[in-house]
Amino acid sequence: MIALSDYLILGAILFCISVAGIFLNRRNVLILLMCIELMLLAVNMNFIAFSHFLGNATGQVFVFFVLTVAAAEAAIGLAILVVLFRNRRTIDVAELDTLKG
Amino acid sequence: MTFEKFLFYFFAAMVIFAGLMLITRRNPVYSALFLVLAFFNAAGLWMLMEAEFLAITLVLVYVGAVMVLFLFVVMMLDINVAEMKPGCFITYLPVGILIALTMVVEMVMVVGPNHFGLDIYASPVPHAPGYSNTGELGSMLYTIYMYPFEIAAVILLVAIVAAIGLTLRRRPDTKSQNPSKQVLVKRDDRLRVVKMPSESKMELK
Amino acid sequence: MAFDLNTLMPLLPEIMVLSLVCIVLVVDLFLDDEYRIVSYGIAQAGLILALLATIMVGKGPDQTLFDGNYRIDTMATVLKTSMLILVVGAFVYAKDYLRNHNLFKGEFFELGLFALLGMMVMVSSGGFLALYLGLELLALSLYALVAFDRDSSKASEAAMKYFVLGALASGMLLYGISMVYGATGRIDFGGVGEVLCSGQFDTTVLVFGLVFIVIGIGFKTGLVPFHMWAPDIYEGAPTAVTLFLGSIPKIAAFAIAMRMLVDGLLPLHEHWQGMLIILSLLSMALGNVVAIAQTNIKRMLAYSTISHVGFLMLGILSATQEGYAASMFYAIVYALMALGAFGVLILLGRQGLDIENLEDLKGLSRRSPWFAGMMLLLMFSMAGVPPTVGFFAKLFVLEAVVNVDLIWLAVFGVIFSIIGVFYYLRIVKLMYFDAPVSDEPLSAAIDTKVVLTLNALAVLWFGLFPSSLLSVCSDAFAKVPPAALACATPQVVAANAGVSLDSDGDGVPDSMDRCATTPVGLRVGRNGCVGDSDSDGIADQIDMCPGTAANAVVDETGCSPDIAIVLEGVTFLSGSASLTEDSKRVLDVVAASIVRLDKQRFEIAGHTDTSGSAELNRGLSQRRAETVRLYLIEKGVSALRLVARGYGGAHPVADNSTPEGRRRNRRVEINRIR
Repeated sequence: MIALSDYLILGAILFCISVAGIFLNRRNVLILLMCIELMLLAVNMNFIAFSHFLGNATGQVFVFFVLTVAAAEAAIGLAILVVLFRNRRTIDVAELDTLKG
Repeated sequence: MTFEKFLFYFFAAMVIFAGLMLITRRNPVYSALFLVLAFFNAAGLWMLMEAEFLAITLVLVYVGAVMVLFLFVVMMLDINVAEMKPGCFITYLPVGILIALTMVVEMVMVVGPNHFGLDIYASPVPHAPGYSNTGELGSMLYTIYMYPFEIAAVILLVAIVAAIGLTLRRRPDTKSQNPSKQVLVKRDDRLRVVKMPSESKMELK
Repeated sequence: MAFDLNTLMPLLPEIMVLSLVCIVLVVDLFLDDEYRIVSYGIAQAGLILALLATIMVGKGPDQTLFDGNYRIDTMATVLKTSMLILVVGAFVYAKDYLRNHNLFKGEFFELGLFALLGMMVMVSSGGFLALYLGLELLALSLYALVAFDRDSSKASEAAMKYFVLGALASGMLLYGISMVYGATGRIDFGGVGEVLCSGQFDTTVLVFGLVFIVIGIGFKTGLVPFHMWAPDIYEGAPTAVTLFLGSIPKIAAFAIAMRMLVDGLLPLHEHWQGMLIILSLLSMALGNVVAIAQTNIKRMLAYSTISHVGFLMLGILSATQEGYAASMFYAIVYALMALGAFGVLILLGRQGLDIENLEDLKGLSRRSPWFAGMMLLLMFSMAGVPPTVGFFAKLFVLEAVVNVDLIWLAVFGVIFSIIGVFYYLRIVKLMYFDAPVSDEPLSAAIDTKVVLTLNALAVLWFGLFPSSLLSVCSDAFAKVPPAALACATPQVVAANAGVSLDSDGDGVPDSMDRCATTPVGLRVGRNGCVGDSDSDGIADQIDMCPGTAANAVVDETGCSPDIAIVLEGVTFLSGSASLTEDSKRVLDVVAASIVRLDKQRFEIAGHTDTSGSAELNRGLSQRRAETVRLYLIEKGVSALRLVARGYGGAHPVADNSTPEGRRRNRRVEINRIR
């Protein structure tokens, strides 16, 4: 039998991988955007596991909306990335330092 | 180990492997492909949890549309991977791993078997054969969650407006076709019949 | 629920703003650049109409609509009204800027209206889902607005940073929400409140989720240590966008904290209070101290925002009616002041050039005494100098904090705001006592001048008559219970009240009950299910044969109906009739099972192996059966339903010549008496 804790631990590991990816990545903004998608996947895993073990579909409805928003977010994120690339000719995270505070 | 358990460990291991590869690759194309792998295996896990509709949506919408968009942008931007500096990834790595491991351990202490084990959340009875996951979600979306559903539609509209507003540019020097003009063109616009006097006969040798 | 005019009327302001965006979107497509002002005009006219609708609709009763997703109350109405007014002002200021910078495009107004719609959804959200969607609607519009000046490399860098940190914050917030959902099974604030008051939740899990939620709020509202995006965004974005995102979303920041922490998680008040105290203390300290070191005026205002948001949270964390009212007063007033201050910056910016440094304000009083006077009022108000409204805003939140015995926190607040006075007064000094860099007179459109004047005078007016705004804010929270009584008064009844019914009586509400038909009287897990390790449909707690083979036919005892039930695991100390501890655990299950089988009588049969004399064996088996019977009676089985008999070695089930066989023959059986 697979316990609820198994799924939640998997979610927690994915969440930490994505946070580590966001903070460690100094090279490529695109990979940052992908880490964000991975983070949302971790959250969705949690919601579906709870939904399964609590027997109410509300969690799945929430995931439905998170997926919708994530798609919109990816579109806008990539649009900003394209604008950034046009202005800078680079998407290196380490070079995003004109604004320093 | 039952077959179900085997599937769980297989999918979970693949998701974690794909996640780790995703954050350590230098080339964004590899990262994107590993993210696709992670999505596929996560969809398998969601199937195990009887969330069939979302599992299929994840594959269709995410792998089919969002990840293709990512790959499309990777190709379009034409980033020179070889030129990218090795970066500070290695210098920060030990500290990063340490912090990430600490976070995992702390989170597992809360979400682990002490609070969510089988004795507290027993495994649920599977749904009856005729159960439709899509039907249940649909009936909730269009009744109880109608208001959020409408807002989600507005969010997609914002994405369209923003993406077009940010990236569409009309260059003055581009050459393009105008199909309606092409269709409506008359013979007289293109062809000029010129009357010419016939030349005088050549003399035959 | 049915959708009729009565349920849709309260949504009129939202519907109007959405229709307005769509109209602007379509009309703008067909306009040439010189007629772009028409889009602006439509947007402004529509906003005024929406404002009237908000006031009209707000007179209705407090309601929770759309199955708990939408909530209209006085707080929502007041916040929406102030946001609409401020957006009108923001568009007036932005118009001149956009024209001067060749950015006058319909998208600015469309995205601004989308952001406004997101904020309106947030302030009247009735659950985590609507709140999250409103937040994302706001955030996505703002990301795009920051990158609005496509040719500015600074702006696109700022947008990228804003996007990544904003998405990270959303992820944190969602993780927290998933934990709250897991612990309560609900995502509407009313439902979560009900579960929290019933006490059936795992506190550790909820507090764990709460940490993530507070981090998410901290990121989104720019509280230290999650503030690092704010100065970069303020500096990098076009000033018209900074004006927008630096003022009105602060009202939404108040709303998001109120809805989640007070509407939803008030019973956890003692936990989130501590977290907010740390965040607001750090924000007040770092915001005010670092602002002094800034030379760029937009960065300085960003740090000033951070400190003001820290102040704003003081009222919420005090968790009293007057605290909420004070925070709401602070949020509205701060948005008003920030709008005016950025308005002056826009006015000072020359054709195609932004005002960047504090030096650019030098000698403003000589260039334009009237505007310098307005800026003076705004700066005094931000610093909290008495006749202006900023003073009262600070006073009210500090009062609220003192009233809940957090005097030390109030003292720190006062100290940091005195430090803050320094950099506001430095601006006043630059304006009045330094020589101007250029003598170029200021020119501005007449509507900008009028709005700026009204804006600054409002700061003075509310300072002279603070009760006019404060009474409105107090009314909004007249019905909200103080934190200590969060569960004493009945919650606002959601439209779907009754979902918390518990149809199988196992103590787990149906919303969290995965197994809604568990037999009465069993101990169930948090999801209402019971363990059944052999999957025979009989819960382990009452299964006399916990190890039946898969697909075996069993009766209510969990055993095959045809054969005698051998109590595996019931053993005795050698040669005696005393039960071992392990045996007692097995017999507890048997007792629970027998109690549930109403009339059925049972014979408890003791058996031994054949070693030793038959007489002794029969006596021993009789005593052992008797012990089991007494134990079961002790556990609540009626004595009349049990008979104990000792058979000695007369009925072996295995060969008595091997030790294994003898072990199997020493047993206690239970037989149904038909």
